[in-house]
Amino acid sequence: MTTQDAPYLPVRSAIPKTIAIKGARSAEDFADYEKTKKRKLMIRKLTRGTIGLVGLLVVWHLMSVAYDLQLILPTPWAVLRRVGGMLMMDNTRWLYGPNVYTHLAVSFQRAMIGFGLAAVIAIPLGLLIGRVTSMREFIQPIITAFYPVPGIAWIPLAILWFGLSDKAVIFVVFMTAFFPLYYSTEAGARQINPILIDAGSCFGAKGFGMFYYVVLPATVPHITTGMRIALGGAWRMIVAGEMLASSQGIGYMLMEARFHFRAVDLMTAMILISIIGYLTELLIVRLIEKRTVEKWEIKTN
Amino acid sequence: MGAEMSQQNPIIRAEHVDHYYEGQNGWIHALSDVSLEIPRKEFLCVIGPSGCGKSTFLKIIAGLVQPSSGTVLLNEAPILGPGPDRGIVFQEPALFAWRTVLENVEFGLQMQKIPKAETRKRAQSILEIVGLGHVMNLYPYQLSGGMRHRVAVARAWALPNADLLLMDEPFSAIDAINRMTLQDYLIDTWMQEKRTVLYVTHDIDEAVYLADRILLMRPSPGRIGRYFQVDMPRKRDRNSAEFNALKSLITEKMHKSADPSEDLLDAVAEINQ
Repeated sequence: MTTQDAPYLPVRSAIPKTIAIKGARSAEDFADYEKTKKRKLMIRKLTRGTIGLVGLLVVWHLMSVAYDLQLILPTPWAVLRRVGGMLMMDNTRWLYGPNVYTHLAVSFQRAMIGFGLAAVIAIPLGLLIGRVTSMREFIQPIITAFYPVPGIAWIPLAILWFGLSDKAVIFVVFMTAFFPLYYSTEAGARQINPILIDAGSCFGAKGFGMFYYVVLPATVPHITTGMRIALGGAWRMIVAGEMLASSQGIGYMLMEARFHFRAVDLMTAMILISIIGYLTELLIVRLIEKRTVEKWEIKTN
Repeated sequence: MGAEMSQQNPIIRAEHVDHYYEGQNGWIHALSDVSLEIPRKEFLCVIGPSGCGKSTFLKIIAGLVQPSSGTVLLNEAPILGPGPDRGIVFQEPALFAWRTVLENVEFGLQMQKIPKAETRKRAQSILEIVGLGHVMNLYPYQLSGGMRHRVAVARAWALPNADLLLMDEPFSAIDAINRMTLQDYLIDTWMQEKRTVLYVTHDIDEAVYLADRILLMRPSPGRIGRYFQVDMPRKRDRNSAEFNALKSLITEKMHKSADPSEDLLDAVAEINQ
C-alpha cells in the first residue's frame, strides 16, 4: 500500500486557535490531546450558552419585579415552578380539564399525523415534479396558486368541513407542513448534478429505480431542510388550530389560560411547546441526518 | 452461426453522423460526416484539439445524445438510449455519495437484478484488480481523487454484459504521476478481461501508452482526421524511440489538424483506411 492509497480520515470540524493545551507535543499524546480539546470546546460552548440564557432570565426577572408586573409578566422562577408543577401533575389552580400530558399527547399526535401526511405526499410529489418536466407543467401552477394562502387562513374552512375536531386541526397542520417540504424537495430534485442522473441511466437505472436509488438519496439534504421548516410550521399551526377549533391540546390550554387571566400558565404552556418542538425535531430530523447526510458527508450546494 | 457472425462484426458502426447543438453564439456544427467502425476488443483512443467533437461522439454512443443525422449501430442495432450494455466513465468520477465503494461498483449489476451474491462477488473481484480491496466499505468522500477515479473505472468494468467501455477523459483531472498509475491499473484490468474500449483524451502520451489504434479528429466541424496503428507490445516503454517517434508524429499532425488546408496523411507512416 503506497501513501497514495491511504484513505482520507473524516475531517474534524475546525478547531479555533484560542484554545491552548499544554503538553501535547508528542505523537503519543495525540489522542489525549484531541480528547481534552474536545472537552474544553464543549465546556466553553455550554458556558457561553448558559450565560446567554441566564442573562435573559435576569432581565426578565428585573422587569417583572421592578415594574410590579407579576400578574401579566410572572417571574421566571414562578414560571419554572409552574412547569415543574404541571409536569408533576400538581393540581393547584388547574383549570384545563384532564392533565397536561393529555393535552401534550393530543397536540403531539395531531402534529405528527399532519406532518406525516404532508411528508408522504409532498416528498414523492416534489421528487416527481423536480425531475419530470411534463408533471411540473401540469401541477406547478396549482401549487403556486395555493402557496400564498397562509395556513391559518384555512382554519375557518377546515371548521366548516370537519367541524371542531381533530380532523380540522390536522388539516391545517397538513396545509402548513406541505409547502416547505414540497418546495425544498422539488428544488433539490431539480438541482441534482446532471452527471449523477447520466451515470444512473448509463448503469441501467430507470423509472422507479432511478427515483429510489438516485434521485431520492441525492435529494436527502434538501428534504431534511424542508422537514425542519415544516416541523416548525406544524407546531406553530397546531397551536393556532387548537386555539380556534378544539377543546383539547396545548393550544386550547393557552386560550383557556388567557380567559382565566393566568399569564403564568400561558408562559408555562409556551415553554412546554418549545421543549416538545425541540424534542420532535431532534427525534425526527436529526435522526435522519445522522443516518444519511452526515454519514455520506454531502451537503446542499 | 449468429454468435460467430456477431464476433466478426464491428461492435460500433457509425455512418455519416452529423451533429449540431445550440451554443451561446448560435448553432455549432459538432460533428460532420463521421463514419467509423470499431472492431471487437479493440482499445481505440480518440484524440484531437478541443472542439473536435470527440466527447460528443462518445455521448452519442453512450445514448446520452441523439445525433442530428446519420446512424450509429451498436452490435448492428440502433442506439436508442443509455443502457448497461455499455460501461461509461466520465471526466469526473460521478460516484454516488450515498453508497460505499462496493455499493457503487455493484450499482449497475443491482439495476439489472443480478443475484445479490453474484453481484457482490463480481464487484469485490473487480475492486481487487484495481487495488481498492482495502477500502471497499468506505464512502466516496473518504477516498483520494485518484481512488475515486479507480472506483469509477471499476463501476464500469463490473457490468457483465458491457462489451464496450466508454471513457471520456477519465483521468484528465488527475496529476501526472497519479495518472500514470491509473493508466497502468486500466491496462492491467483490460489485459485481464479484454473488452472494446473507446477512450477519449487530449493527452497524446496517454493515447500512445494505452491504445491499439488512435483516431485523430479535426476540429470545427469535428470530423475524422486520420488513424494511427500502435503495434508496440504492452506494457509500453515511454522512453523507447518507437514510443517517442509516434508521439511526435501525432503531435505534429495534431497541430496541423486545425488548419483545413493541411493534409494529415503522409507517405511514410502506414495508414489504416
